[in-house]
Amino acid sequence: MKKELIRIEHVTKDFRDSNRRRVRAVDDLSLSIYEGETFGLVGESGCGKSTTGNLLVRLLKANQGKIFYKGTEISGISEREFAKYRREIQMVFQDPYGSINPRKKIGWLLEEPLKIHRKDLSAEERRRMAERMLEVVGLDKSFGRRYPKALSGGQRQRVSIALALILNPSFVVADEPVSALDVSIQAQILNLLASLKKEFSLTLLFISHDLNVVSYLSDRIGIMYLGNLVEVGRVELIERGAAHPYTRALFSASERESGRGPDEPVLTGDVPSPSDPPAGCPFHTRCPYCQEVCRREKPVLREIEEGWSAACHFPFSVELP
Amino acid sequence: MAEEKAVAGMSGKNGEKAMAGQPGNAAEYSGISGDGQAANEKRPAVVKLRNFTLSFPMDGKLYPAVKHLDLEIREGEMAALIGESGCGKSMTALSVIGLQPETAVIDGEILYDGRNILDFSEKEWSELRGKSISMVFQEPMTALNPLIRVGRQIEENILEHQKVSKREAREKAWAMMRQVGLPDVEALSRAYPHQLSGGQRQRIMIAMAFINNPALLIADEPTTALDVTIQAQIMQLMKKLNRELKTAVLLISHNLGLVRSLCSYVYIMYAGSVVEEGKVEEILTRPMHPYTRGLAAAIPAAGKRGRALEPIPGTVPDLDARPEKGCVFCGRCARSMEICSREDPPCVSIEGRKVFCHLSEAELTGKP
Repeated sequence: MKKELIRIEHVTKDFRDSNRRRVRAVDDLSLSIYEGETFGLVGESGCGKSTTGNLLVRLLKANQGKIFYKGTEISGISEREFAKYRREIQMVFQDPYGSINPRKKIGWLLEEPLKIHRKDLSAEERRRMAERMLEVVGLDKSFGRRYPKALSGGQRQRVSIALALILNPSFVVADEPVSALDVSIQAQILNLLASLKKEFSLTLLFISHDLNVVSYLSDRIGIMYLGNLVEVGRVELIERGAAHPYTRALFSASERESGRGPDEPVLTGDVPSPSDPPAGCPFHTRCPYCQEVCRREKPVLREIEEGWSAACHFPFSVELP
Repeated sequence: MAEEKAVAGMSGKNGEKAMAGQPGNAAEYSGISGDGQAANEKRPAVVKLRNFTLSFPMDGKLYPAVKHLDLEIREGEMAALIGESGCGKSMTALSVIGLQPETAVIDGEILYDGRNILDFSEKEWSELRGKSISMVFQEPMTALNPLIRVGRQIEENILEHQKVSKREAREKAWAMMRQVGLPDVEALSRAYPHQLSGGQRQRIMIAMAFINNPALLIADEPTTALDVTIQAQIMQLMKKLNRELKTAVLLISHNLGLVRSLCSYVYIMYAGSVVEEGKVEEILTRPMHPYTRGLAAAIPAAGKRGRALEPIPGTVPDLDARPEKGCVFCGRCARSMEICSREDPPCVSIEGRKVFCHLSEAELTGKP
């Protein structure tokens, strides 16, 4: 059956803002990602989706909670112990301009992780592997002799993907990998990710604000709002009719974007500041179906049916109170 | 907070109902959108671009970023200019408000009120800009002055163009801020741009742009920097003001789907040229030009899960790598023929739309 690859248990991450106030980016988040699946994490800016991704690859450390990889806890271990997991857990970043060293040739960049993690390889073997990796992501091997600045945005993102895959990882976090690209190029990269996922038998955490992209690529999705997971489940269940009003607002906004008709009321107001989150349900200030209990009590994730949960006191509300 | 909910909620619902086709607004609305082409034809154009070309000189040669563009926006209409980065849409937008880069070499005409505004002096521009033609930019944080309170920035725009007292200007500014759905206007007008959220800043930009009741508003990717739920709010607001104030709007965007519920007419641009134009609904449901078709096929959606997307191969050619003759898209087009690289594509008129392509009408429509 489904095997858990990643388990996140009650993870909380706080930052301090410029006024030294506590900003809770991720709030008591629990989540499992299964082997071989693509899990899509969606939400608007500041919802904590990227922080969650960074916690998983250990670019950040959680204040509370535990993270497990193949059943072993990796959140409490030392940096040295974590090193052996680094080649298994890799990341593709949003901005291919900011995440690639501009002063090194592509070939050098691709060989660098091999020098650290694959000491068994000769220089010749490393070079051949880097060249093969370029071909895997659809680039000519001559790209190895070029600098990042000579590449277009789409080509750079192919290099970022090659960099993430060269150590043959089992888990890849892709944080908004296509958001900086034009639609026609975006489709090229999405196809590439889908085919590489099969070829390398990857488990993928795909983070994006774009629900169209996420629901196209994912098997299961999680929707985040103000650091909380408000709904999680299999895509085909959620897209048929989401339980959480925020998920429905997101779907309706992106359907409007893709040209289909809107059926949900447009949300009013702004997302509250994570340094001053509302009491009760984090979404109640913008929820068209808000009731008394929503202002008071924070709803927990409850199963709706197998493989689908939502954190809402009144799931599937359609009538305005 | 409560006030914001009330005000924004009201605007939200109004917009929603009108879009759903509430009888009261529908009549007025259909003149602008939907089947309003016949009604549209009667409306005079606010701005006309005739054979407009904008080039950049490099090493003694001119490289056109926009080439032989014909475009018009009619009174009260919401039109869209759609294309990917590098297609020339922003250069076109900036030229209509006289803010194109100084190095650009321009040919052709942009007619406003019968006069070619490309010949305007800076003095003539300062009377026109912000009054008759105004603009909303993508990133309000860089477009607003960070050192001046937002209320005063709106007031200054009034005082510049209208003969009113400072007090009247303030009242007008506040009224406009309420109209764009901002909460607690008195306090908010004393805020600096950095103290507002992205959505609020864009509302301020929109209030500034509409304050002198311009004939034309150019909105260059007005919601691209915003979250989707906020995006929906801002788009509804633009539509509401377009209806209430009868301001014509030219919406510049990379997002084909975004314009469906808002605009009536759309121009699709690729590498400096319009490749297809017509009524939004028709182009979205039945794109004909190979590029427009490619764009529509490349958009991911849940319904396409499990199937590969159909990307357009290659990338947009750089300015100095574009063919001087022939179709700009032919290097990436799956249906290109020998003639495509040799001759500029003709304009094929099909059922009220224009397609610039060498394919025959039967090939474009798929009908025998």
